[in-house]
Amino acid sequence: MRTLLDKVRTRGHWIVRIHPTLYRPDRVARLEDLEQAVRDSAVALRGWDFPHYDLGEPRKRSAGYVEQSVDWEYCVEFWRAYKSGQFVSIAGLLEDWRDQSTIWPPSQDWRSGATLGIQETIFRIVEIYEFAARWSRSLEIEDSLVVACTLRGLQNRTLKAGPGRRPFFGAQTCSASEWSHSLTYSPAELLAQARELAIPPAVALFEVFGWNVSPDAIREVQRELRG
Amino acid sequence: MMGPNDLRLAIALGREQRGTEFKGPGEKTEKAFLAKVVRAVLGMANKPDGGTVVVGVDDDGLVLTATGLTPGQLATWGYDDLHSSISNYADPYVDFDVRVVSLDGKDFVAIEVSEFSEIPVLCKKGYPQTLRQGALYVRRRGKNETLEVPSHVEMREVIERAAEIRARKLLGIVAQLGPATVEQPQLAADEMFANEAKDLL
Repeated sequence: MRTLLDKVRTRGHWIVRIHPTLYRPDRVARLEDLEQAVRDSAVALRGWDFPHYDLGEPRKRSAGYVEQSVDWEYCVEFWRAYKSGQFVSIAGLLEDWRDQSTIWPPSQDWRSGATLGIQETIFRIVEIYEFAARWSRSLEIEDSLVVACTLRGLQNRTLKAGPGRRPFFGAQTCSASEWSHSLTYSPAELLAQARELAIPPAVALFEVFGWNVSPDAIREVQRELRG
Repeated sequence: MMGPNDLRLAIALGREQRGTEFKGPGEKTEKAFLAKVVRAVLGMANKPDGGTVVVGVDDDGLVLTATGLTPGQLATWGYDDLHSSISNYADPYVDFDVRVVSLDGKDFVAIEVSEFSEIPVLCKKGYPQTLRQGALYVRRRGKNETLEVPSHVEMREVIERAAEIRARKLLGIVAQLGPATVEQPQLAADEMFANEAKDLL
């Protein structure tokens, strides 16, 4: 039987891993507290939150973790939180799943895997860093945190300008199949400047597409998010 | 930033979410209606991450209907006027933006409210049956409605958020003085985390 994870992996997707630097398998004693930490740390700066904690759907519990998956409209995603303080999110790129959406149906020229939305990507990276900051607070993590992101399914994908912005003169196309970024931060850094920390990964990702964007341009897009 | 797809998504969810409140069509000049919108705005300002108040969607408690605004109604929802109205009721202030969202040929107003950035926002002026001077309005967890802080749960959330926002600002000042100490993960720990999630990676 094909699982939701198998499904997500068939198209472009994010893999996000956030964990402390010290491994303690029972950093969080109770699964209930772990679930509450995910709920408290979820970031809702726009229409859809990261990660999506769905109150209406059951979470699946195991001895060492709690997880949830969502497959609704163009949102196909999965998250798992471990008692060790590790959090993993594997989420399909929203624009890759328009063919199963009634509220954002594919246009005639749509093809899954063809584009990567600039605004959507910048927003997602902010959400990842803001979540990491809140995760460190919710779990009262005192050691540092590793924030690792991988974006898969990039080959031949073209950058797409955000709404109301000028399109590129030439196509900014990626020849690599994936991109990764991983760095370690102190909780204080994350709490103090999550949005600023989200800028270098965005710059590095867009460079792979041949777009040399300035940090200020990223900041400008970030300002379109609430908060 | 709410665009047509976000609005479609919010309506498709079929009910109000904690970060979205719907109001039916109306003019800003209707005082009783404006007071209800202001109450929703104040509640969103006190919610973590803020939220959006959408004008033009009817909610009878069972079904959401995307009615839209007439050109005459839409014209009354300019930012400057609304800013002035909200300022009359909010203390200290509410940071928000107003956007017109067009969906299937209909227009809606989306008031995007940021979470308070210093201290929680209180209602500084009353309006009969809708707003009470001195009240703290919040979005209730679970039931997704705006009301005066109903219990210690919501009150604690607001107080904790205010403390966190203040602490994060202080940390920002400290961060400018010099880089924080970052402990690099030991290889063994890295492997243990990777091993833990190996069925996913």
